[in-house]
Amino acid sequence: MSSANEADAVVACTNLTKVYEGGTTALKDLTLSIERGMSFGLLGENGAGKSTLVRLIMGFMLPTKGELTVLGERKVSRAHPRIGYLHERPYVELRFTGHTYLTYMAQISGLWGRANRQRVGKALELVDLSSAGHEKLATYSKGMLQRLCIAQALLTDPEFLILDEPTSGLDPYSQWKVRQIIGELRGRGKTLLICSHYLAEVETLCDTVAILQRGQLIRRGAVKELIHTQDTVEILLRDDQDANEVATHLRIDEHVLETEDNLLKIHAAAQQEVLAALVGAEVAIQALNPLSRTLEEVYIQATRPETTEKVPEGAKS
Amino acid sequence: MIHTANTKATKTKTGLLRSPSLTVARLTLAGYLRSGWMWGEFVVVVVFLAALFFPYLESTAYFNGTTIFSLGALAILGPTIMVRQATSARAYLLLARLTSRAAYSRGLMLTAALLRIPLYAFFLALVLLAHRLTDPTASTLFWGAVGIIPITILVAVLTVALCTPMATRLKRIYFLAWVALVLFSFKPIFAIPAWLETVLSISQIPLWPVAECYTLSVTGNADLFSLLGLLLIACYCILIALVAGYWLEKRELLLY
Repeated sequence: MSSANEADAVVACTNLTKVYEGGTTALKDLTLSIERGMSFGLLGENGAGKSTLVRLIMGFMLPTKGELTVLGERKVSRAHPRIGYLHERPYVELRFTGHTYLTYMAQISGLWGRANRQRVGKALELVDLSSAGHEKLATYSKGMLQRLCIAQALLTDPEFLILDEPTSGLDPYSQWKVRQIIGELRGRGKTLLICSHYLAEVETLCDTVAILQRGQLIRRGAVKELIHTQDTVEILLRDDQDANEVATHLRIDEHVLETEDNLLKIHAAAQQEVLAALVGAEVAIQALNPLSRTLEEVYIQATRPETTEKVPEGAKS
Repeated sequence: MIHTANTKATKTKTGLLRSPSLTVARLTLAGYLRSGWMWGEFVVVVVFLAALFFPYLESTAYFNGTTIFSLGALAILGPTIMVRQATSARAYLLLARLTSRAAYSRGLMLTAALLRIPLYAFFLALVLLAHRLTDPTASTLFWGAVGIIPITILVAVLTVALCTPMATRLKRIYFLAWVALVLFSFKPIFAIPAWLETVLSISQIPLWPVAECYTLSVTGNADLFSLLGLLLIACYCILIALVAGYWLEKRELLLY
């Protein structure tokens, strides 16, 4: 990585390896960068290394090998005042009120007096908890606690936010609310690192994703590019034609992925050949649509390639 | 000039009061108080009063001598519970705000240490209000407090330092091995050569300041050695805080 890129990177890791005491390799030679302003989704199954990477970025753990810089700091705890962190579970001191808890958190971050009151009030307002601010946290629902944790992450108006499972286990309203907040933060140009199992959510909230598997990076790219990779084309024949019959007759079945009535799904690479055969046989074509994939399909294809030889039913045009 | 100096002093004072360690200490204390465990420590003090001062009246020297052991034991129990509470997974959000984890361990130590003062005052008040002392004088009680409080503070600070996640299990084993060695050197349970006894007595040296403070509290006689003992205990506390902070900085944090 060039020094210019490194300066622009909020997180830059090179050959990052983490081996736990028991000998389990959680991350292996991971090279990754998260650039400023990016909304970065970290995907992977349980045990893929997502949480380990977050803990390394937060400095809760030390790498076994490799280099890691966060906001330009090699000693990552020095970057803490510029980071907002949301833990995967809403662990808070339940005996406090939301307001008291945030006041303490803001004080630890060096916000006192009027600045403290303003930031706490603003953070509670942002997560829609102003009216519940003086209630004990023990009376909060899980969604409210999660929003409170987001509020504590936003107290210092950090430039980089790490959101570990931000909507995990929340009811639909809370999920929506959290997504609205994240969307707003993204709109304000904050750099976001979102770990989530909800792929549709990541597809909506992130512009770049990385997929980890057994501690290794198996896919990384812009969401748009990943889902718009046109490897499947849908050809709609005339209503009275049977796509299966046409394919067999023209001997193009090897390129066909799926047929359904007058619909033919083929590999994009064979598009020219199939079209030439159809035009040559004077088969009428109603429509030709390149198919885009969902992030879920990209994810399954990357992590379980053997299960995705055929395009899943859910492929959308 | 004077104005500038005053402003500087005020700023330093404000800076100290607003330091992350002190905020962590306040937060820990508030959590410990609301959990009810802190009141548990006060209840244990009442139990000590009942066990040690009823039905007989006792001397101030007896009070000072037994208080070191009873409040010393409480300085192990209380901070252990407090640290266990304060270093659950909840601490991740706090640690994520600090540029140095040492501030967190210092905050815990500060809470554990400062709590020893009201506990001692409570014990003393109970004993006096119940008229359980035969010879209470301001002088013996004062020097008793001067000897007892630093020892219990040292025990509390050491307990915090030896708790997870500051110390590893191995470090606790080393410490307990040293304690066993000291106890053995005081009173060997089997016969050992005299030269070995002399060698083993070296392990007692670090306890010299504690012995001086103990003597001060029981006898009420302050001399140069007892003052040196007090100074060394203060140095021990600072050293332990620094070492525990260093340990915590270097630890992998897997909190549950």
